[in-house]
Amino acid sequence: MGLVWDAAVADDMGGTGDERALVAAAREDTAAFGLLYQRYLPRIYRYLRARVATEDDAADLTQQVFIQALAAISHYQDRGLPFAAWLFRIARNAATDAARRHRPTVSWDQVPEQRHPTAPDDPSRTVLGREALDRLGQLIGALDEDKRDLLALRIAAGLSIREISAAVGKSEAAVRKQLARTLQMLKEQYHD
Amino acid sequence: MTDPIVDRYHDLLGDDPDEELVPLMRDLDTLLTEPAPPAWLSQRIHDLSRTHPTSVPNALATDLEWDAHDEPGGPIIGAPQPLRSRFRSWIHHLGGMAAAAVVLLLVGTVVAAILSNQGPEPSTGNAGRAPDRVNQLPARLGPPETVWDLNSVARTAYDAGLGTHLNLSQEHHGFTLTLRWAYADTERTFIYYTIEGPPDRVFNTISVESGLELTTANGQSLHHQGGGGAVPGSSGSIDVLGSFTAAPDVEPGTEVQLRFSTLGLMAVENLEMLAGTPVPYPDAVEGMPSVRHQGARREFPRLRENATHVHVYHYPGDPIQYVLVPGPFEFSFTAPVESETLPTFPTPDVPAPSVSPDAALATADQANEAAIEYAEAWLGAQGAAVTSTELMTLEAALETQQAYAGSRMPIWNPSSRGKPAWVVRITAERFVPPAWAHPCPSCEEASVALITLDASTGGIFWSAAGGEESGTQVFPLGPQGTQPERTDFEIDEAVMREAALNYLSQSGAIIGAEPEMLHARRYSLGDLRRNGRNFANYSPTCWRPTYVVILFGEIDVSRIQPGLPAAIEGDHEPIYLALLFDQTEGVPGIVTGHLSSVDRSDFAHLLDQGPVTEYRRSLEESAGDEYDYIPCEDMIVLDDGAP
Repeated sequence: MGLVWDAAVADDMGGTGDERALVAAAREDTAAFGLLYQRYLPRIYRYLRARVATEDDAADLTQQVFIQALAAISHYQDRGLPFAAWLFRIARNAATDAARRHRPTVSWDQVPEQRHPTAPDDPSRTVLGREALDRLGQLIGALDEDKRDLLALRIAAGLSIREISAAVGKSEAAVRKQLARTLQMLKEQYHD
Repeated sequence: MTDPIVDRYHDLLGDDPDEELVPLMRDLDTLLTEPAPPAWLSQRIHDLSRTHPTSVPNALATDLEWDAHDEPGGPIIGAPQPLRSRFRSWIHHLGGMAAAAVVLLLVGTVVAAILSNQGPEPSTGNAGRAPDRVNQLPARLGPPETVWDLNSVARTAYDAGLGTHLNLSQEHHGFTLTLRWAYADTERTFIYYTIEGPPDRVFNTISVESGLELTTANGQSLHHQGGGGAVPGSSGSIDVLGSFTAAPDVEPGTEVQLRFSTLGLMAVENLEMLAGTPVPYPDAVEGMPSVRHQGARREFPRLRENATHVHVYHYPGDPIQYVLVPGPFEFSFTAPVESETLPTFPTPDVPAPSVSPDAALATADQANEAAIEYAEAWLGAQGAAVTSTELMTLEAALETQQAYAGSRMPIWNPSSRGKPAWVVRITAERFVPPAWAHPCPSCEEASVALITLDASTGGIFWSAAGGEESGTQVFPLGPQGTQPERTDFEIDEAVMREAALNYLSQSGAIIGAEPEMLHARRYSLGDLRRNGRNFANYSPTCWRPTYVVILFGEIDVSRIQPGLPAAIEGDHEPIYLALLFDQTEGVPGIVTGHLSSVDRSDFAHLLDQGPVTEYRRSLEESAGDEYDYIPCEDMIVLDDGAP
């Protein structure tokens, strides 16, 4: 079976030039919604993977997000809120609800052990590299939820600061400042 | 050559990136962008978008079971099936519970037509016929998992990304109230907040004490229409969703400034769950007297306005103690006024009845057809499958209800003038009414949900039992505007009060003190419907003004409604009771009772309304709006030989 998101992977960090028309079409036509999900599936999955403990949970929540989005897209109106921000609000709510529902969950610092196996010929995936990444995962797992959420939105989901701002309901300056603080804190801990 | 990491995260690294930050960003990028969705997930979502219209009911969508949407070849081999597993576990959870839910349709005059074989046969012949939607929509079963299951409309707004996330917190005495989300439009306001207690304690519930206030910038109080909280989980926190009326004169696209305030909190601490002696609260003072006489009415703690210390109330031997936490907790915030028109509570996806609300249905048969059609559609939209229908008397319906729910709900059909009405009992599979979304352990065990539909006067009224009223839906039927308002009878307030107290005592309520009759007045049904969503406010008798009695007092209603004690926490909490009487025929009869723990300020909207004369003027101004009449003379009085 082909990976239907192959095309989306290439584009998932790209612009949203056609997005407005696509969203408008998706409100009437589920085929157009299919194009949207192709675009966002990897990003939603990665974001949720960074928020929850297991791959199964991430996949389950990803399904839920797209079902909710499909049901709710008729309510979406473009009033300056980027579609990505709207969609990631749904994802954030789903992740938050899941966390509230299932607490206590597996500690996030266990996640690195469950990550996908790495390619042996990748020089960055040496044993030392994996250990470093595992340690970084533990540091991320120790962050409070808001900080981890912003990191996941910026890096795992690939959202811009503006999109994050719209998704979390904070100013761009506040988002930028909090991310900078978080990175600074991680840097100090990571290099200890 | 430019480092792609520096390019990708230029917004964070800047033009002159920190040399130690770049490797961190590279590792973060590697760590967080590596996971890829499994193939089966993409395929399922692809199938979903092809097979589902965008109008999938949102309340159901999260629990869609995937089997119905798999390709003919069946599910993808080896693919994880988390949703399906959850569904199966729920089925397992049901255990021996009867798969059917019982639905009662109060259909007043159908028997006459059926027995005489006159007129069209009621659609009870539809036994076993499930609406097409039923086969498309899977079950939505189980108690609520989150606070969003309490209100499908709020859930729609939340899921759609509407409203604003606030995350404003305040802490007093170790208790933290966090205002998390707010939504406003021209019809409603929602707030979502959480309360967390100290981490080393276990609470059955934590709630705002003496209610909460939501006011506009100029001090106008929004009416609290209802709300609910999810039970505290292992996290020790409780989620609460509050539903309020809209701020007046707001325009879509603007913002509304609101202020959330509550005097303090009341927590019910579970002492049995603690390993040892509970740690005293640091600044606590003793509250209630520690001696309780057997059978004596328990005085219930209340937070004093000027309280500064935590008050702990514990009766010897009790497994719980009440903890009153003074605040105040106050938040000022701004919420966007959304322009979206959210669906109407509780089920936005109920297909419109084929009978227009404006239509004049003169016969009971037509009304019955419409009632059953509506019930089936409503049930179908809930994911239920109607499998059978049968007729029974009102008395039999009450017995059935009692057998299933352990208590009699005040089913009353005033249009039959005290005579037994006929009921259509619908058995439906996979039906869980919204009313079960209360923190109610007994609800989880119950296997039956009850809905009453009253078509006896050409109008339809349904209500779900098994918990509190979950909502009302009224289709006014009958010749419009042909019946003059009846004013030739007087209401004796003493009689009404007596009737209310009689009703309470006969229903098994324990009246701890002489309830104060705060209010007794006639209201239009329209007023009640607009302002008192929680009231079961249908007076089928001619669409006349309903007489409302509001009592305040300490009334134990745990024997009346099985789900209520758990919902209220504490079997002797003062209950503010509003009873609605139908006075239109000059004979006081109870339409239904509304039981609530809300504060008396919740009734302010009723108390502030003008007298009947103002209602009349309002009626004239809104002629033809929703005040449709059916002549009382046209109503059929049933007589099935019952005494």
